[in-house]
Amino acid sequence: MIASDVGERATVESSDVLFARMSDRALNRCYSLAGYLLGDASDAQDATQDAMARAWQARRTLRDGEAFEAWLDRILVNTCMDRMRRRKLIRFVEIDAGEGVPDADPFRDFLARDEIGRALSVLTPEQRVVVVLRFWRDLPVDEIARRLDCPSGTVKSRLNHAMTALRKRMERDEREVSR
Amino acid sequence: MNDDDLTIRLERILRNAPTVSAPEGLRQAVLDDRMLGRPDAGRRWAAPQVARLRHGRSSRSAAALVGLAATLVLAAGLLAVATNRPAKPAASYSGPQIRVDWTAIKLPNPRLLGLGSIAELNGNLVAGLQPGTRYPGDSAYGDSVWSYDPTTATWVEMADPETLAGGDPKAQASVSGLTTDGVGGLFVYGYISRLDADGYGLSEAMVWHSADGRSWKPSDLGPGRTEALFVRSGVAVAIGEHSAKPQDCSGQAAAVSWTSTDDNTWTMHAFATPPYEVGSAVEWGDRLLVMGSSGCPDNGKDNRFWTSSDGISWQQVNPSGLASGYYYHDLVTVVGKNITLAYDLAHPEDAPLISTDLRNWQSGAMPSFPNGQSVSGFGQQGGTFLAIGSAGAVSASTDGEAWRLLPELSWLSPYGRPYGGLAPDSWGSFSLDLTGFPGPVIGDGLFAVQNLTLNDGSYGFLLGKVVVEGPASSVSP
Repeated sequence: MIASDVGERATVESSDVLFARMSDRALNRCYSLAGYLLGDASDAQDATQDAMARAWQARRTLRDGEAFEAWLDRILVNTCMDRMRRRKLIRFVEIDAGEGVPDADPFRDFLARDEIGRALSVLTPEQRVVVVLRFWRDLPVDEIARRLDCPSGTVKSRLNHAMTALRKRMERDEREVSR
Repeated sequence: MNDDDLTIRLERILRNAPTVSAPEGLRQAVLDDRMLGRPDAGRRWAAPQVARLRHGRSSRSAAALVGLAATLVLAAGLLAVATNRPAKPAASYSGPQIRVDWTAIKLPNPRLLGLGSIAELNGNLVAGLQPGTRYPGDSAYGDSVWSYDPTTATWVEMADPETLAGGDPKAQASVSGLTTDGVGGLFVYGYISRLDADGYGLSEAMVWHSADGRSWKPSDLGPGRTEALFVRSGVAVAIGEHSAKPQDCSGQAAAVSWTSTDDNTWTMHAFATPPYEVGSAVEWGDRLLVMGSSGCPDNGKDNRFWTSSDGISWQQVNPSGLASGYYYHDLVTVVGKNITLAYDLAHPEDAPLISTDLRNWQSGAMPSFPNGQSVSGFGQQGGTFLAIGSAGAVSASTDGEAWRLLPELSWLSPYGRPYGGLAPDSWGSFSLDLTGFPGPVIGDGLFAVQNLTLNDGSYGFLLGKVVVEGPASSVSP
């Protein structure tokens, strides 16, 4: 794991070289997080590249290697939030699960397989971020709050609203199916 | 469906969502950004070279590339309409013949890789140097200040990282620049950063002064960063941002100046309320000129200028012709000429803007570079604007409009090559990513191009001197 690796070495080395190594090793995780946040591989590539460049530029502000993961996540999440807000709606291409159409986009494909994955499209950017960090990254509320620079209560509130929105969407879908 | 059911379903789906391997094109693009970025240019936003890198991604479909190109064309068209900046045909250069004489200078040791700032003090070159690898056992990590004697080609450390960080092992000093105090001493300015719980550095604006080059008096100017310092009529004027987290782009930064007449007491003068941050600060005739933006470094907006004759009271200039979404970090004025050149390195496809009154800006012409090189930075020396290409070519202009590619296209080869290859670190040799030319380093009438591996294998930079020679000549760009 990156965190433990950093923990062992950060006290003796926090160089650009180490930073580059840590960034490289975090790339798949970052790309995947961006992918599940944005629901689109192409957008995820752009966001990941932007976030990595931003992190590289700001690397000298990072002194504590153990904070690297949260620090990089925060930059990436902010980058993705910007993108989601700019396009107003999360650009989810909903695929009819019954058709089983293969899709070259791994994120879109995975999320489209299940109704709850498809239902994520109804969430606001803020709600979607907390859901993905909570359930995909498996982070506790405090860690999510740390990454979003907001109180834990705000995270809980967003999670609650997200769950409500998801439940309504799925209940609506179930009603439509049963008609 | 209740919340428990929903939670179980979310856990089942999302916790099983795979970690997807980043496409090789993305991995390469991230690496290229590091190589082509401006790693030692302080907080400047090193924008990815969009056209080259993103088009290079192997994972992109042809349709996506066509769409991207169409979007870029559309965006460029809209931008041209919005900003009324029609592309200007390249003008013929008709200034004097210009050449640059280069001197190769080795850095003091292989741990120091970056030349952050330069000045001239008592016949010596003084430089703020930036570290590369941190070694086990190093007590401090951060910038340091060195003096170079050109007659003996030797370096002496004037201030080590620990001194600049005030002896705090958890602090890191960053030197934004250096300037002489006019009476044989030196001002160093920048900031100290300390990590907070979120992984973001808390920043303290700093000025360090030395009268003898050995002992240093630090002045903590409060939360923020010092970006520039000028000494005018016995008054030191520091310019920067007042904010605990200026790099956070949180909208909390205010552009400010601090003045001192005795190096003991500094008084802050806020001339732009948040969210303005300082992009550039230069001398403009007999006044000081600051450019600020209310946007983030990669998304500037509401660009404005302020001028001051004393560093205390500031007059705002609202320009026309500067594009929103741009951040004109690179502001260059040539002493003796009422021409200012502004450029946003995040938009390498755009020509620099020029103005003679700060109010009206119009597009100049692109500097001419061979082989598709983009601009990596602008500077000035000897009454001449200079542009450095991304692979080291140099173009010169006397008016900011017509550029002449200097004939020394092979100027680099006698001295060395761009950084690259292997650099030593504590685990053995490791590929160093700090390649490329991060743009010219300018200060105190000096001009340097850095990030070189010299022919003997040492790291160094080239100190350039512009030489104007011969009669005017007409050269097509």
